[in-house]
Amino acid sequence: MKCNEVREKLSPYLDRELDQDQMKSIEDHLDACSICLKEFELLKKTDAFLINIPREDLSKEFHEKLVRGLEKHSIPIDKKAHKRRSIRSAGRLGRKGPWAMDTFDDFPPWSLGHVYLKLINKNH
Amino acid sequence: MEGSDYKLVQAIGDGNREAFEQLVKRYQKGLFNFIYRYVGERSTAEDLTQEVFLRVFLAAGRFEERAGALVSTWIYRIAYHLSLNELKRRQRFLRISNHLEDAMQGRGERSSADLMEVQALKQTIVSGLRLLPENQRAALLLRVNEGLSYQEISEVLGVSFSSVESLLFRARQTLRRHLEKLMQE
Repeated sequence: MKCNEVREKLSPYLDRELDQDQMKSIEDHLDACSICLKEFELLKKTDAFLINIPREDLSKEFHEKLVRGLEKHSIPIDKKAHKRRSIRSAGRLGRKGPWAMDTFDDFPPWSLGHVYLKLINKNH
Repeated sequence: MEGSDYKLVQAIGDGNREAFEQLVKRYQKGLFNFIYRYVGERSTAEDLTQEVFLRVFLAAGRFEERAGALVSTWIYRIAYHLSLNELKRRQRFLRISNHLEDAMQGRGERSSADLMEVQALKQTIVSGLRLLPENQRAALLLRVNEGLSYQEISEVLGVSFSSVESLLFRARQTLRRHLEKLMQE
């Protein structure tokens, strides 16, 4: 293998993502070519720099927020309440009784809530 | 509750919260650090991490339909797409990049004796990451920091195996040149 071919494969070689024959060819080339070997060592160092950045911890509030998020998705849904209100009233607070699904007017577009609200709205 | 990722996801699909907690514990640190280094802003990264777990919880019951997919790949794919959307939506990458440098300088191993060296290292790497296009940055972080295989990365990013190879090659070249340049200064 030529040096330029080897250098293009140094990255997958480092990741051990080449087949056995290619791995062997590059290994042989690196044994014989100090310039490519130096290039390879630099790539390894680059990865080592990246790995050595200490991992951050999540904040103490993270789990609390996550639980709140789960609770939000798990609130019992009063489907009848839906039929009594149009989508215009969605999000109004202060009413009594069980919270209807449309109380939460911030459903992201991907969510079941969003789809459900759309369907309900369409039927009215 | 212990078990394979797949068993946990199945249990989550049945509404088992203990399984969910176990999965969160298993993935939270890696996932958060991937997102943090990718989007560059701590609070956004935390919000996105939360969003990923919520989506996992809500979609766990449907995971079986994606036969053959790894749970880890699935989770990182959600994280990648959410992070990418966030970057696009806000269109404030330059500002985020600056935050990244500032935020990461002020955190980490404060008790370490060689704090200065650690901070300098972070600054160097972080400035290098800023130079990379988002897909190269994601591929590099998933490979080097999260240990995903090329096949897994291709599934997360939605690109071919050979594209992953190319992304990583270019990312490493850019980062290597950056480090060399800084070392010569």
